[in-house]
Amino acid sequence: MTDTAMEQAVSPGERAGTLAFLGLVAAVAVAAIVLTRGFPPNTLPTDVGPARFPVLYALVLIALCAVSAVQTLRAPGYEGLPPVPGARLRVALAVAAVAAAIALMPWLGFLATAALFLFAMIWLMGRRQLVGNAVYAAAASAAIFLLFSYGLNVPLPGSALLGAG
Amino acid sequence: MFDFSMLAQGVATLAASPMALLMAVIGVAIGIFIGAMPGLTATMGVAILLPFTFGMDPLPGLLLISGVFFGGVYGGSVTAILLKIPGTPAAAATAMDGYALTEKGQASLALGTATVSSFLGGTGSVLVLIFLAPVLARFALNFSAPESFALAVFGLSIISSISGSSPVKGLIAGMLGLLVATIGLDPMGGFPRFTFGFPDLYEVPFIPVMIGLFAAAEAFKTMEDPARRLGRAAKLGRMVPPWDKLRSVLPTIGRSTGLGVLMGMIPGAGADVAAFVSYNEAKRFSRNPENFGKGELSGVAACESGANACTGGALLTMLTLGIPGDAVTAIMLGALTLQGLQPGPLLFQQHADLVFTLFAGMVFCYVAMLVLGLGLMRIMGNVLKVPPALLTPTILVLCMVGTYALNNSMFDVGVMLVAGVAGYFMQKYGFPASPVVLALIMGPMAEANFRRALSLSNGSLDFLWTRPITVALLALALLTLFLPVLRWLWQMRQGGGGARRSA
Repeated sequence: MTDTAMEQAVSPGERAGTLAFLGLVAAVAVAAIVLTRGFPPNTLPTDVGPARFPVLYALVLIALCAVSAVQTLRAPGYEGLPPVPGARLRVALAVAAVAAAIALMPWLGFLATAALFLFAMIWLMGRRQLVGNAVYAAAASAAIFLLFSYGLNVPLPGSALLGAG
Repeated sequence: MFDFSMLAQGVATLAASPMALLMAVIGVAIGIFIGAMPGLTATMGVAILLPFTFGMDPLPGLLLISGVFFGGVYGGSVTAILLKIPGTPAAAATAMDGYALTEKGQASLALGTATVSSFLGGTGSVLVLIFLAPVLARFALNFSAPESFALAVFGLSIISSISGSSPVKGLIAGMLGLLVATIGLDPMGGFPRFTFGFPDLYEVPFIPVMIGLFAAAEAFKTMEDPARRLGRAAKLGRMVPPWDKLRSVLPTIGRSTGLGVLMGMIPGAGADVAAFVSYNEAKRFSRNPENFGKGELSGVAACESGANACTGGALLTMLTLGIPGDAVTAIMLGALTLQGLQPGPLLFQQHADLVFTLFAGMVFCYVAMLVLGLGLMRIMGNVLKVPPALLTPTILVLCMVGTYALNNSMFDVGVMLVAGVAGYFMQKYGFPASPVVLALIMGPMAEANFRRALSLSNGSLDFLWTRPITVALLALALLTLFLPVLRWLWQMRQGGGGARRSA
C-alpha cells in the first residue's frame, strides 16, 4: 500500500464513526436550512438578507459531507488497533462529570463542585490514593478559587444552598 | 526626516524612570500568565488592570497596560505548545506544530523558538511603529468594507492549507465553523439567527467553542488511555534555540513580522488572523510544506512572530489616527484619554517626548518578555511532569473556570462542553479543529463586510473587481484555496506517487 493509501485507510470502527459524524453534520446543515425559512424575507435591494449566508454554508456543507462519505466508503480498509479497555466508558463518564459539575455549580458553588469533580476525575483516571487525591482536589480548587476571585477579580459561582463560595 | 534626537531623548527619559521600567516588567509577567490561561485574553487583562493605572503617571500606567497586551499575546503559546491548549485564539495556530514538537520531545526548542520569534516579531513591529507610522497609517485607511471582506476571504482560504491529510475534511470543519459563526444577531438587520430564544447566543460563543475544541477535547482524548500519556517525554533542555535552527527560521520571522504589522493595522483583523495568515505564507514559502502540522519549527516561528507583530500594527493606527484596530487597543485608547492624551496626528506634535519614551518603553517590554519568557519557561515546562491523572482533571476545571470568567455565564460553560465533545469526535475521525477556529474568526468578518460593501455600492457586486486591493486579495485567496486541492487531486490520480503531502 502506498503512503497516501495508508493515510486514507480506515478501520471498520473508524468508517462507521466517520459516516455517523458526517450524517450528523449533514443533518445539522439541513436543520439550519429549514430554520432559515423562519427568517424575515429580504426587502432591501442592497442586501442579501439574514438567510443567504447560512443557507450557502449549509448547502456547501451538505455537498462536502456527501463527497467525504463517498471517500470514506471507498477508502481501503485495515483491521485497526484493538481498543483500550474501558476507553469509551471513561470518556463518557468524563463528559457526564463535566455536565454534572455545570449543573451543580450554581447550587454547591465553585469550591465544593470543583473539589468533588477533581476527586472523581482523578479516581476515574486510575489513581487510587484516597487521602492524596482528596488533598490535591481540595488544594487545587482552593488555589484556583483564590487566583480567580482575588488575583484576577473574577467572581466564581457561590453556593445557592450554603450561601457562600 | 525622522528625528533621532527625540528617540534618544525618549530612551534617556525611560532609563531615568525606574517605576516605569518596573511597571513594564510587572505588566509583561501578568500578561504572560493571563495569556497562558485558557479563556483569559489580553483584552481581559488590560481591562482588569486599567483601573490600577488611574492614579499613576502616564508613562508607568501606559507601560503596565502595554506589557499586559504584549505578554498576553505571547503567553497563549506556552500552553498551546506544552498541552495543545491555546491560551489565546492566535495560539490555536501555534498549537498545530508546537504540540507536535512537544510530542517529539522537543518542547524546549518549540518554546524557545516561540519566545524568540515573539520577541523579534513584536520588537520589529514597534520599530515599524516608530519609523513608519504616518506612511503606513495612510495605507491602512484605504481598507474599507470591500477590502476587509476580501481579507476575510483570503483568511478563509487558508483552511485548505491547514487541513492536514484530507482537504475535504478540513473544508467540512471550516464550513461547519462558518455555519456556527452565523449564530447570533444578523450583522445588518439585527435579527437573531439560530439563538432559540437564548440571549447568551446573541454573539457567536467563539472563546468557549475554542476552549472546548482544543482543551476539553484533548482532555477527553487523554481519558481514553491515561497510562499511555504517563510515559510522555517531559524533558526540557536548553531554552535558547541553537543558532542554526534560529537562522533557518529568520526569513520566516521577517516575512511574518511584515504580515503581522499589516494585519494589526486593519481594523477587525487581529493577532489570530495574523497568526493563521503567517502560518499559511510560511508553508507556501517552505521547501518542506509536507512537514507543517507535524512539528515544523517554521510553523511555530511564523505564528508567534506574526501574532506579536500585530501589536505594533494595532497601536500604529490607534496612535496616529485614533482608530483602535481591536478591543485591546480600544481599551488602550481609553487609557490614553484618561491620562489626558488625545490619540491622533497631533499626539506626535504635542506630546512627542512622551510618545517616544513610550516607544522606547515598548521595546523594553519586549526585552522583558524575552528574558522572562526564556527564564520562566523551564518552570512552566514542569507542568509536563505532573501526572496526567492530576493534570487532565485540573485542565478540565480550568476550562470551566476560564470559560465562565468570560461573561460569568454557566451557559458558556455548557457551550464549551458541547464543543469539547464535538472536538473529541472530530479528532477521533480525522477532522481538524483549526479550520473551525479560523472560520469563527473570519466568518462574521466576511459576512458583515460583504453586506456592508453591497449596501455601499447600492446592491452592485462591482466592488469585487474594481478595487485593486480587493482584487489582489481575492486572487491570492483563489490561489491559496485551489493549489493544495489541485495538488491533492493530482496525488490521488497518481495513486500516492510516494509523495506524502499533507495538503
